[in-house]
Amino acid sequence: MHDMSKKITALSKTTKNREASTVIEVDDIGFSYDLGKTETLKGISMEIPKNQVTALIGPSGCGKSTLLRCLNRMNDLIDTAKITRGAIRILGQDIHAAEVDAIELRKQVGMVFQKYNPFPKSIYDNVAYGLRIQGVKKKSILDEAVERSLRNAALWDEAKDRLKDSALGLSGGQQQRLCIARTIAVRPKVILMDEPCSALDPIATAKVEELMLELRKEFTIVIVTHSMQQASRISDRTAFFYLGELVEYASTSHIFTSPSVKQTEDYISGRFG
Amino acid sequence: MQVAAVPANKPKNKSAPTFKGKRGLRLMGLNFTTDGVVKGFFGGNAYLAILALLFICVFLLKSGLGFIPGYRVELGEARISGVELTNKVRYELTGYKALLARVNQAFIAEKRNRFGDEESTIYLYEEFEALVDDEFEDAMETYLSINDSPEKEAACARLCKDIADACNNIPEKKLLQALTRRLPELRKVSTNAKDQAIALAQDYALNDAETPHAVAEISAQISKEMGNFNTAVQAIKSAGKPLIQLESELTKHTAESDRILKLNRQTSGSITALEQGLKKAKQRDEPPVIIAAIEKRLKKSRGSFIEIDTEARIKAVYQAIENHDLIVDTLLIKISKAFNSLPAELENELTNVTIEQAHKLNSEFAIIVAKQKENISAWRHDKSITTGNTLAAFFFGSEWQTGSPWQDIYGLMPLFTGSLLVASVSLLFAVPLAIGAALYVNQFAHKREAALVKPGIEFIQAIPSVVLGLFGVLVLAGFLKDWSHSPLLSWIPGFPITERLNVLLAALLLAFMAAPTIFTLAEDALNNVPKAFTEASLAMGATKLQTAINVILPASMPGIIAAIMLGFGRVVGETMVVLMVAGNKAKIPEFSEGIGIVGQPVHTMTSIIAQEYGEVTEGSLHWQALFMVGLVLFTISLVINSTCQRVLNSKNR
Repeated sequence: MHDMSKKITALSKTTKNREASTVIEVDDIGFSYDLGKTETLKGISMEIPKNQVTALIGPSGCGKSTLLRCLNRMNDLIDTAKITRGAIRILGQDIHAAEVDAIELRKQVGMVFQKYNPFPKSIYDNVAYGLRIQGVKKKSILDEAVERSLRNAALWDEAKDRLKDSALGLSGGQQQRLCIARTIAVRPKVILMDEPCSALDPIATAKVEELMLELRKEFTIVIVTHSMQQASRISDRTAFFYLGELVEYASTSHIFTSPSVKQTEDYISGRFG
Repeated sequence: MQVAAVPANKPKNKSAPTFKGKRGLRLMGLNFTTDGVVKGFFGGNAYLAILALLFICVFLLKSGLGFIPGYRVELGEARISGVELTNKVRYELTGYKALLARVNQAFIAEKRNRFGDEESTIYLYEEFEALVDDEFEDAMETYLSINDSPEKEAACARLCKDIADACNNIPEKKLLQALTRRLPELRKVSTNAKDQAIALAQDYALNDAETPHAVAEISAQISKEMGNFNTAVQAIKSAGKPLIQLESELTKHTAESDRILKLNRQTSGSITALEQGLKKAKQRDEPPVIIAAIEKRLKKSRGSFIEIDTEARIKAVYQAIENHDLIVDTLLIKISKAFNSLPAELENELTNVTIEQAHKLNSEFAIIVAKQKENISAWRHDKSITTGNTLAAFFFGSEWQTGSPWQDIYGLMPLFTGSLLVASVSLLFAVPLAIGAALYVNQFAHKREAALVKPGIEFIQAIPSVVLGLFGVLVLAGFLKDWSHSPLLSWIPGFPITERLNVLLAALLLAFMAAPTIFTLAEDALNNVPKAFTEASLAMGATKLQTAINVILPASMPGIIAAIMLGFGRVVGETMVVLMVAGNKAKIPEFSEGIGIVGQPVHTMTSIIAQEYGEVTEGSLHWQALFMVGLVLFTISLVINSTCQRVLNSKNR
């Protein structure tokens, strides 16, 4: 366990100060769950850089998960949800523009959920799901994608002999890594992670964290987490939210060592939240 | 400073807990608290339900299983008396009669097609002749008494006109009624035939009530033209006579012994009862008058035993059956000869179809004969009937025949296949309907729409089945039959339907009844799919439709299968609708007709009970047979329900 976290810290340092271009541009976004009566997000602006891990932290109800779900328009599923102001641009495209199809958007912006949720299908079918719904039928392509994704998710060695077994037979950590494999199988540009480790034990958590650092080479990752240690271990940049507002957004080392706002410091040092 | 003294021995019961429970009402050494009584009341209700279920099970088993030994005795009697053998011949005879009827139908169809008008003319003429006889007797006499030529001509014209008017005055409806007695499928009186008939009637009147030559000529022409066909029909008809004779001979020999055997069984039953009664009476020291009365009746009963020499009687049966093979072989040869003499291809489509059917019946008849020949030669009256035979006769018996003057036959197969057929066909309609609706309401419909559709579908359940049956039998039956004859729908396999009440009609109504059950349960199953699956799928860029079909449907499959099975159980157990619209014909449907099978009438296990329970006497074999059918139904439901439970539990594993 200790070795693992050392390794993670080492890994994260190697890429920490990379220069990166912006992938996601959040511009004064306001969001309401009840058709605009009360705002859950109150005008948030931030830029999320490419091939980095950006952590969103803050106490419960601060709006970090809401923001995450705005990024792939999962909030569309709620009838009374409404963007009250501002815009979100991903790769320069306003995702709420009329011509944007949420289905196409989600193919580019994948999501991993808090509770691992593989489908009650075989491991293979889970990973192949995204490609299959896009109409890929050729077995060789699917085989290759499944293997590559499972390797990327560091699950190949554990799962290669049981690809046809039900995914529900895997352990919790393996199931979450399978969900990650499922997400990266369709090669999205961005991966959103909503507290991906909160249901996992420390060893599984460490494995998933290690994986995230691997994955940022290829993907842009936005992660919501409740664990300050996790944010400090894996993220390049950290955003602290409080009551629907972005309090502070800076590089992780800056936030955790010398936060500019008092509230951030109080939260990080555990004085509230 | 004085401190208030604290009392040293404070009463304990004020502060220290005692842990004593409330004491309730004590009755008969039991402690009744409110909690206990309420709990007891609920528990009592639960156990009452279980007890009732147990009671029903025991009663069903007792009454139903008594059927097997009882039926075994009856089958034994049927064998010893030779009734069983006679049945085999009767079976052949039924096949032959069906064939003959079909050939006759073909003959009539051909005759109607070729000589429909001519026949109408003759029958109409007969009607008009009666009219002339009734109303124009005086006019005819007056006309005949005139000798003056021009005057006669005028009288002739007048008489002819009067007759024509009188004939034309008969309402069309009345004429049609008179005609359809002879020509049942006639729908319209042809004007041509009517004019001709009037001319003939005028001829009849003018020629001093002598049947005109033309009438005889028409008849002669018809029989001449139909000659070949007629000869063939007559040949088939007369060829069957030996078989009919054989059957009646066998019936004569066997019915009497069967009757006596049954009477003797009754007598021995009453003797046993009386003997027991006598024994009890003696033990209890009843007055001698009573004992004497019982003894007298016992003596009388013993006296009413009828001596019967079954061996001697069965000899006559064996003797009669010796000719069987020869009779049927000759019959088959004669029939095929007659078939060969039939004209090969006729103009009329209906005739051709009917002849085709007759050919099919002929080959079926040949199969029956071959089988029965084997059965008859293997038959021995002294082989005893085992319980296995009895069970096979019940479960695989292809006939259910009750209340007949001949032997009652209890075979489950027609009812079982009927029930199964109706239920499966109705599921074919109900499953796509209900599952589709559930998927739509659960996945795609707007909340407000779902709030409208869901109760709407569930409301169907509120329709009493007898009302649905009434609608089916009075409205839908007619529509369905008419539609099936519409040329627009003739592409649907199985159409047109000839029977008004049939499997399809019952299946449609039952589908309507089962749909809410399946819908509700399937909707629950879909609802139980974790939201996380939907989210995961949507987050992968799947559309709602892809999510519903690829993720939600498979994930809820166990629940949906259970829903379908429970729907099946509901349909199999449904009684009223089936009783009203399935046609109630206790015969195994013709599977050889392929999909056309849905146009046939069937009987089912539920409706046979509802239909016949009123006519059975308590404890009779028929009574027990109905309980046996009930037992089978109960078992089917039990199996379906427990399988559902297992399927649902396997999901949670």
